[in-house]
Amino acid sequence: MQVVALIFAALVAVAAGETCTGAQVDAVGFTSQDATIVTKIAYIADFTLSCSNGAKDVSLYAETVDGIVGVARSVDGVKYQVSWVEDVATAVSGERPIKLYDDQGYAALRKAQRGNEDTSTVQPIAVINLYHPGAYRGPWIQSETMAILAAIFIYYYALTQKTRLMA
Amino acid sequence: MMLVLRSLVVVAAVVVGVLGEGTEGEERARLLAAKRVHNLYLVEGRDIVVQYSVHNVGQAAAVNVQLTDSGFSAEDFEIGGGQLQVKFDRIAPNANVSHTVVVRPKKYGYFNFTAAEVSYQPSEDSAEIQIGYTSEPGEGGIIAFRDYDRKFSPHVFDWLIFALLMIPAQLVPFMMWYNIKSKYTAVQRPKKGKTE
Repeated sequence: MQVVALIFAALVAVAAGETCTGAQVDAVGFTSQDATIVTKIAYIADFTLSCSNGAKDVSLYAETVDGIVGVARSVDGVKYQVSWVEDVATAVSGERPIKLYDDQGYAALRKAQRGNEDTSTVQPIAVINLYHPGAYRGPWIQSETMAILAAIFIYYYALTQKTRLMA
Repeated sequence: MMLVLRSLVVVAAVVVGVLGEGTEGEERARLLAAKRVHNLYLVEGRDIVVQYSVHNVGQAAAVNVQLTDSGFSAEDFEIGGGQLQVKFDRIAPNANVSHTVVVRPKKYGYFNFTAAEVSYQPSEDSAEIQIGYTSEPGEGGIIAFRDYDRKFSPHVFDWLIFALLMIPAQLVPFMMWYNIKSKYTAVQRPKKGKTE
């Protein structure tokens, strides 16, 4: 059930304070694959971040379906987690990109949003692709229905043969 | 028979921040936190989707927000995905954060879903640590996997056995009739259909 997410790391050419350059993420993804007992599909990406400039304790923001949210971290600050839930009906299978921003990227993004500018010009420090293979929603056709259809077919066949014989 | 958990336990958010401390003028963060279980049934060994949402209704940003759920002990639950203890560096005023964990119960029976703990500093320069709790989803019955499977599985194997048992009872008369028919009628009728 663990899907190792593909990782793309993008370089940022800024270095100041706790910014992370040359971000490399190592992510493990989880999505619900059995939709028969849950009402919402959970999307969870757990990842660790390593920066080529050795920055530690970096605050991250992620762009998901919920908008731009702060990324949760484990208490020791090593592991990050981005997660959200979606209704079973709207959760499509496929890859979900999660764009990660640091403080500077977040500020730039907010500025672009305020000014109604194109937010795609702001480069994320890394992108995680969370793959959701789709969730099982139960059988397409109930086995009882199949059994009834088979019984009706056999009965019909026998009956037509019999009427032909009697005619 | 085991009772099935009511779907979607949505409980009104519990005020985490202690309200009305007579702090006029002072801007503080106030967090509302909810814990929700997004399941139709709770089944032993199957996913339970737990979502925590934290909303800041105060005027200041909450700093160092720690969310800890100690309700899912390691002997009763296995973690499918996510972490049970996380922190958010800051939650801006009027901002939401949500956190999702997937757990799988190892045992069946009634389980009380308790509140998770949220602790935070109510403003940037505040040293005090505010502690609050999320809403409680309440008690839910975890069904044994065997019972769940008996009720909800497609029973394909059972039907196959039934079909196999039915085949001789139908095939024998069919073959008898078919032999006689092919002996006395010159017209061939290539038709066969004997499956359940």
